[in-house]
Parts: sequence; C-alpha cells; structure tokens
Amino acid sequence: MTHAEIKDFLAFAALDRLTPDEIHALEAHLREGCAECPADLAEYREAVGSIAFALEPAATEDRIWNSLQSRLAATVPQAVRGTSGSQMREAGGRRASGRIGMWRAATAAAAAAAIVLAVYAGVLTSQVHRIAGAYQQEFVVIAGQVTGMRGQLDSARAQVATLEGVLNDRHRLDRVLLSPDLRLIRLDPLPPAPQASALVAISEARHAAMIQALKLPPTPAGKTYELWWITRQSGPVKAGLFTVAKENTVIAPASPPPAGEHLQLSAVTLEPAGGVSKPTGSMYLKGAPAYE
Amino acid sequence: MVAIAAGDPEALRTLNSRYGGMLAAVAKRFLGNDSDAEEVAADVLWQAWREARSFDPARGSVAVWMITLARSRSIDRLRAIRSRGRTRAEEPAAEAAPDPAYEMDRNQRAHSVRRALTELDSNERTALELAYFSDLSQTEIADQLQIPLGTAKTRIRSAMIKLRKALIGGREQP
Repeated sequence: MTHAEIKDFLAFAALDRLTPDEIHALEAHLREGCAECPADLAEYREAVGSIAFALEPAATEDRIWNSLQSRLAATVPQAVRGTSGSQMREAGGRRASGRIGMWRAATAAAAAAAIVLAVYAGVLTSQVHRIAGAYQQEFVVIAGQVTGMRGQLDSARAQVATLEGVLNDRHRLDRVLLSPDLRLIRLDPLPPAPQASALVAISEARHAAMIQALKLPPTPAGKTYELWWITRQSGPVKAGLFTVAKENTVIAPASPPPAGEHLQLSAVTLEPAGGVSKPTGSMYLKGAPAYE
Repeated sequence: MVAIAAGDPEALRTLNSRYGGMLAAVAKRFLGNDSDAEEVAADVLWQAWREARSFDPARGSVAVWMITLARSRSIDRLRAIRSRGRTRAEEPAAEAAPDPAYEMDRNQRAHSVRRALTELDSNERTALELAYFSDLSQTEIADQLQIPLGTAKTRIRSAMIKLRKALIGGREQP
C-alpha cells in the first residue's frame, strides 16, 4: 500500500474506524519509519480528542471521586497484606539467617508502613479539601441567612420606631387633654369622607395642639392631609400635616392657633405632599370651637 | 501526570475535577445513562493513575489519551450492555466543584471546537458525529446515512481534515 493510500487512512485511524487489514497496513507503514504519517496521525488524534470538549461536562465529578477514593482505599489493605506476607517470609529468614534477616524484615515493614502512610496522607488531604469545600458552601448559606435576618431586623426596627412615634403622640395628646385650659373642637365629616370624624385639642398654656382623626381614607400617594385654623383676622392658617395609613386612625401634633386671634373654624383638606400655605384641595372635615 | 505517577492522590483528584465530567459526558453519549458513564470515567481515571508511568507525552496530550480510552471503554461497555439486553435509563446529575483556571481554559477550547464543528458542512458533521459517538463501522455509517460507502468516507475524511486544520493548524491534504 502506498504512502498516499496510508495517508487517507489516518483520519479513520484516529477515529478507530479502520478495518483489520487497514490496521495491519498502517502499522507496517509506520514500522517502515515514515517520517510524516506519525505526526499527522497525532494531530488527527488531537483533533478527535478535542471533539469531547464541545460536550457540556457531566456534573458527576463527586460520584466519580467517591468511586476513585474507594479504589484508593482498597489499595491500602493490599499493601498491608503485602507487608504481612513479607514480614512472615522475613521471619522465616530470621530463623535461618539471624540478624541480617531481622534487619531486612524491619526495612520491608518500614517501607510498607511508609507507603501506607503516604496513601492515607493523600486520602486524608483530599478529604480535608472536600470538608473545607463543604464548610465554605455552608458558610455561604449561613451568610445568606444572616443577610435575610438583618433585613428582618431593620424592618422590625422601623416598626418599633413607628410604634414609638404613635405612643409619643398619644402621650402628647394626653397632656393636652389634661391641661386646665383645654379647648376641644369636633370636626364633622364632609362629602369626600362621610364616615370620618376628628377631635382637635388645644392648650395655649402648653402651646400645643393635637388632632385625633378616625375613618379618614388612607392618604393617596403624593398627597397629605393638612389641618387649618381659620381666624377672623388671618383667614386660613396652616396648623399641621399628617397622613393616614390603612388603619384609618391617626393622632398628630399641630401648631396652636395664632395667639390673640379669634378662631372661627378648624378644617382638614387634602393637599399635595409637603403641604401648601393656603388650602387648595378638597375639604374632608370641618368644625367650630364649642364656645362659638 | 508526574504527580500521579508519584502516587499523589490529590493529583488524581485534580485530574478528576478537570476531566471527570468531560469523560463522563463522552461516555454518556455512547451509553445513555449517568451510572455507566460515571463508571467508565472512573475506570479511565483509575487506569491513568495506574499507568501514569508509562504515559508518553510525545504521543499526545493527557486529555486526548483519556478521551480515547473513554471512547474505547464506552464502546466495549455498550456492546456488553447490548449483549445483556439492558435498557438505557436517564438519571439525575449531581453538582461538581469547578476549577476556575481550568474552567476558563476548557471553555475557550470548547468554544473553538463548537465553532469548528459549526463551520462543517451539515452532512460532514452528521457523518463525523456518527463515527465519533457510535461503534458503527464505516459501512454501517454509510448504511445508516443511506449513502454510498465512498461518500461516507469522503464526508468523514473531509470533516476530519477541516477539524484538524481549525483546531491544530494541520496541513491541508489533497
């Protein structure tokens, strides 16, 4: 068979797809010392081997490693058995040859022990790596849990801060309600909130005012409720801002009415967030001081 | 391989982490199930462990040597399975720990091979895949593709020449 014909075989040889006759012809050609074909065949084999890289690797290394570890471990008893046999043989030699035999046995035992220790050391090292990897994965999981718990803690802190604010407002309302100069204004509902009501408590001595509103609709996004004093001298005067959440009940502080002015009315309107200096939105509640 | 030849189990572990998944993937293409594929991969790695001293780098890379072993063992096992009449079964796969440096190199090589395979004519690619991932003879490949034997040979050879040129930079053959 000619060199050119053999060259045609090389690709198939790399794929192990030659017939027995072709294999014999190729082997004979290579034995003759062809300088070109061995290198070509090696390159074809490299190309064939590379095809495997196009496959997505199977995620099975752990199970393969378990199998390999079992085989590694199985080599240790063999070494031990080999050592025992060697020791027995050397023991017989010791009786025949005296101290020389004893030293041979000791040397063989030491060598076998060294092999066993080396294998065990390797196995232990690999186990330490695996355990370290497992701990690392566990650490990542725990770190994720800690992050989640921090989020829950932040949320709980925010709730506590909200409740503390509500409690403080209740205490302030109580102080105003207990003031000897207490003035109360009941605010009645208007069409935008027919179920709503509110009570405004004013203490000029404490220079404080509070509003407790019930059943007001939750504040829409971008809006705020605004409390007003309406005096004969100044007209509507901004008293304070508050928002209503889902529970529809709110206690909020306000500025007291302008000193020395005759308070005619108090009202609540819905205004753009941040409030306005004069009412522009719908009026939800309105009332006059009792003495009026 | 030097470390394996010296009996270092950690080197065997590294070899497994680098090539175990790929060897199992090759075997699975032949055998169709994870369990047999893992056994083949373990057998090949064990053989590499036992025969590392006799490995000749001049004959090719370690990867190609082991892939060749994996194909050969897969074909043997496939024939044994067929003779026992066993059926193929899919099994779930477990997770593997990556080696970042090797993963990068492997991904680059995978990209090159996939590109080279994509650039083949579809008929050539089909013929090459049959030749690579089956135990069919050239005649059986021709029968399966329903083409003359000469055409099958031409397609496989042409595909191999192109693949070799793309991946190794080999000489264009007449």
